[in-house]
Amino acid sequence: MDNIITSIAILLSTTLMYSTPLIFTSLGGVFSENSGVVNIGLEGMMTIGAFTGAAVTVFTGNPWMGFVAAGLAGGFFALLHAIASVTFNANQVISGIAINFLAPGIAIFISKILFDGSTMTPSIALDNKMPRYLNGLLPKGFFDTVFNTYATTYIAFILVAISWFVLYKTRFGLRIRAVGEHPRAADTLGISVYKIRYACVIISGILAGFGGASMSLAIVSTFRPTLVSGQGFIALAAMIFGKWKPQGAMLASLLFGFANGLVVFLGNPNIGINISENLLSMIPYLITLVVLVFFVRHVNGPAANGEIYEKGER
Amino acid sequence: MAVSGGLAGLAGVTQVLGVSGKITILAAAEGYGFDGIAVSLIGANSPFGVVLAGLLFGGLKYGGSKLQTIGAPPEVVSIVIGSIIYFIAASSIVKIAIDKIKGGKKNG
Repeated sequence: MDNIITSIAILLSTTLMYSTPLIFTSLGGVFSENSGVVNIGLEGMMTIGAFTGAAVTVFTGNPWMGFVAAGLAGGFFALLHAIASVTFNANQVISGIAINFLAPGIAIFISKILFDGSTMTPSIALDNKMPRYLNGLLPKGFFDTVFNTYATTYIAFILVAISWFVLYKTRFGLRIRAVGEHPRAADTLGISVYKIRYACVIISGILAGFGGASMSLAIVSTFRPTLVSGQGFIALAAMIFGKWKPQGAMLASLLFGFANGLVVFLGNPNIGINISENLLSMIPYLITLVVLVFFVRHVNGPAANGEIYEKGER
Repeated sequence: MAVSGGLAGLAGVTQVLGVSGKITILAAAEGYGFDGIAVSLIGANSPFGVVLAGLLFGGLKYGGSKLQTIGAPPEVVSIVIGSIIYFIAASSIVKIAIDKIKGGKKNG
């Protein structure tokens, strides 16, 4: 019995750990797409965030500096995306793909300059990783294993609540949704479509940068080129699966995080389940497919999502 | 959807049988699939445009590997490709710039 409880606790804690970057990034997607801008560049923004977070923490020794810098770096690339897709009417998907080429390239390029030609940042000292504030406060056992996790995880859940509040309870959120549903109507009512879209895309980049940093500062303690490898796209799927809502995106991220946790858990040779590692690593994607095929019906995203808005003559 | 999947499968076959002659088990099969999305969008979703966009991408990728042989690191190549795609996407930057220049002449 004890054994089972410990197993469940380990499974839950890995779920939380792997969900964190997905929650940050899919929240970013929620902001951008509710304002009507498709952001495929989340993957690239996560990568640059992961690199910046790790690099700044290596130099300053302070994970929070790294975390904030990661947000700024993600926000900068989001700004590029916004300039192309909002001001210059670029196709949002092409511009996002361009970001996915640019951001990892620049991350590795800078890494080689800073760290003697290495594409990886040096490991962050254990003391300089994201702190675990609940360390030692909880009774040993189940609660300690599950909730004694990195600060970024708690920030992610707090941000979900804040995002929900901003999107549904504030004037700014109402404007975001208006712009995403019907930009022309919003414009005639005096809302600046461009400003709202810029703000949302930059917020999404900042959140994606946080997501990347939560990988390189908490889950592992270094940046390497393969670190993000598709998490940005999974976060995008989580956002769609969550029906473009913060709370939905969070639940979907938790599901995908759980799938990842399951892979780690079942891959442990001590569990005694002998399945090929390659089959196990399919689990998150299988769950994605099954969920999208069987459980997601009548998904209505923001009506003007992906539409280029050109200010007309008035 | 089935046709699209079939064509993507054929693309995989040409890669394995024609180009490399072997299957390499790598996570993210060199990103050809995602490049394909960009190709079809740049080609404005018309078969003829896709051929041109595909040739552009092929040229960029092959040219990128040649750049590496003269000493440019691979990440610089991806930065170059990224910038090219970025400016293709935001091609109206050029139009606006031309308009500005022309407008400036009129005023001047």
